[in-house]
Amino acid sequence: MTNHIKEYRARHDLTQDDLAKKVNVRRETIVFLEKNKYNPSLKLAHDIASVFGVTIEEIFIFDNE
Amino acid sequence: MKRAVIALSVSLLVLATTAFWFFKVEESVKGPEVLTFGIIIVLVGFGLYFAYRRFTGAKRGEPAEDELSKKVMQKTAAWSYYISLYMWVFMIWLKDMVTLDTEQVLGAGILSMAVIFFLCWIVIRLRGIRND
Repeated sequence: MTNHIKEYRARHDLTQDDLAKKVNVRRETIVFLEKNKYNPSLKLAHDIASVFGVTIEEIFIFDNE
Repeated sequence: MKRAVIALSVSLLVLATTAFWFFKVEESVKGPEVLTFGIIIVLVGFGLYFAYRRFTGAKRGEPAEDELSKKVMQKTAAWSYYISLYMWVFMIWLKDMVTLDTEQVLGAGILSMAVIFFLCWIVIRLRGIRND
């Protein structure tokens, strides 16, 4: 699974710290997500999508390998 | 915050006990003791670093734990448990091969468990958790 968190974060002019505070996680969780080193729970994916006002599918790309 | 205080307290307690042991050793300190002290210092350093990260995170208003940190700890605990089982089998084999006191075997085993936990934590953080 890959994601576009970094692009959306830049578009909304948010720092990793800002986004982390909005979705109530530690900053390093956002770092791990952006590096594709962690797949979030459905709740966290939903919270992140809500912050950017888009659907989960627009941010997270599920590849069926 | 609670975990940071616990990590800090345990690290300082281990450091104080190690220092007490070090100054109590009457004979000159030899290779194995120096190695043991070195490993303990590294582990205490890890504990202090962990506490520092938690304190600075709390200062910035970050939650003490989130889903990633919980998963990292769960995976680290599971990995280190499995590896420790093999380590104890190895220790039993080693006890038959080399003359060692029970005290030495237990001490080495406990220290090895701490080292295994530390290494698993580092590897899991480097690899990440993808759930693929």
